[in-house]
Amino acid sequence: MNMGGFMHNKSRKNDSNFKYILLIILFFVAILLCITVYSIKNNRKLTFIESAIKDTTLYIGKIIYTPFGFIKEKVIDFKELIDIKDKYEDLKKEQDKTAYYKEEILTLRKELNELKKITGIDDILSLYTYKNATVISRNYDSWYNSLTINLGSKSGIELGDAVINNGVLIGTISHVSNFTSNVKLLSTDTLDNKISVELVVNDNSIYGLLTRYDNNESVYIIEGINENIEIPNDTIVKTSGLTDKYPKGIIIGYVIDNTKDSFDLTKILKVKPATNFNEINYVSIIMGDDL
Amino acid sequence: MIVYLIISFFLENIIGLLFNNSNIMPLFFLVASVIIYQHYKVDDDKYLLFLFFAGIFYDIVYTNIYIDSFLYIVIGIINIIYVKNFNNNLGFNILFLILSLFIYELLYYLFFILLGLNNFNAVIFIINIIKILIPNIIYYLISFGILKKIRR
Repeated sequence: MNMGGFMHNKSRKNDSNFKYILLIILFFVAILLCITVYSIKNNRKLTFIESAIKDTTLYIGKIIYTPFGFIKEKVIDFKELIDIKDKYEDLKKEQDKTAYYKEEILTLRKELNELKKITGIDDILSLYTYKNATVISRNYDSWYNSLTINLGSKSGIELGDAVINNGVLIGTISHVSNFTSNVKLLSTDTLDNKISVELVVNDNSIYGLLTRYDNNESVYIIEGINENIEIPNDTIVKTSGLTDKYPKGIIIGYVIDNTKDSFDLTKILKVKPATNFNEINYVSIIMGDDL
Repeated sequence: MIVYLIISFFLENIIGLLFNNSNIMPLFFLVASVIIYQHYKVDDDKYLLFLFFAGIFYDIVYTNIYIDSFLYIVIGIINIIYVKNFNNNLGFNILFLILSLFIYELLYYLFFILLGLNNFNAVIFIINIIKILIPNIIYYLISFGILKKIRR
């Protein structure tokens, strides 16, 4: 065989090797895409290997980030220092009311305990304990869909636990590994599970369903409100506690607009989230009731 | 090469946490995966295998859904075709990077639309593309300069 023929054969062999490997890879990719579809639809549990890789890498990432985080906190502290006089004035005004609030809480707790004894009811929808966690990773492709926190199943975190930021509901736990968890944010375009919400207007409770988040206007859409009820803007929207998933009374947002649906039967509310989804550094995970 | 990939991987997360807003979207690990083929002579099949596992690793750590393994392969194949058919100079490389990032974001977006998890919005898509292009082109230019110096 001459040199030209040999080179030609070698090149053909390389080409066929390349195609062979490409085919195998594409086969595995197809399987992985099927797993993806399954895991998106069913909130699949992470396997041991996935958990181990995720935990280890994110912890290394957290260690590397520590000095950068320290500098960031110092910069934020410095910025806050500049506004401290205004804040001090506001707090001074609030402080005068603190004694009154404390007394009111004590009285209400006392009344609650007495009522519990009388009625024999143990479960109170609005009481819960929570654990604080730090956001350790947030991917840009799913910025408004999910984030990762530094607590996992070893800290008692479970799938479906509600997650809050500064007392405002932001999402639920969607994946749990030993030392980290993923939070599915309410700002995801399409919510799998609708959330039962409560609005208090003139001392009357009105219930509706939070059906989705509108990314264009950055508002939640709430449906199922009776069209005859007048709902003023700035009405607070809270969880109703009528599902297992979310305790009662967690703030979601404020009404900014309301319209009628296409059949003129119910109202559709636009609700501005009470938290900024772009600035979530720390979260709390609601663990269950406190009594 | 490995050190550069590891740095890119963690830097992406650090930038994400440091600039805690969605105005810049670093995809440094993807950029690094593109640049290594352009700068170092890597076998095509080994490069694709690397991209496959890199995508899986990225998915496990950050997204929990296996879409990047597929997207990394697509970008890898386009990268191989580009390097074999075009001049490997900075101008062409930047144009190719823009094309790669556009395809990556488009496929990601289409995948979520197909699954019914996103509604198509052209304005948001274009804004996202701009947010992706700026930091990643800057990272490419910095990497290009550093890798060129190291190779000398």
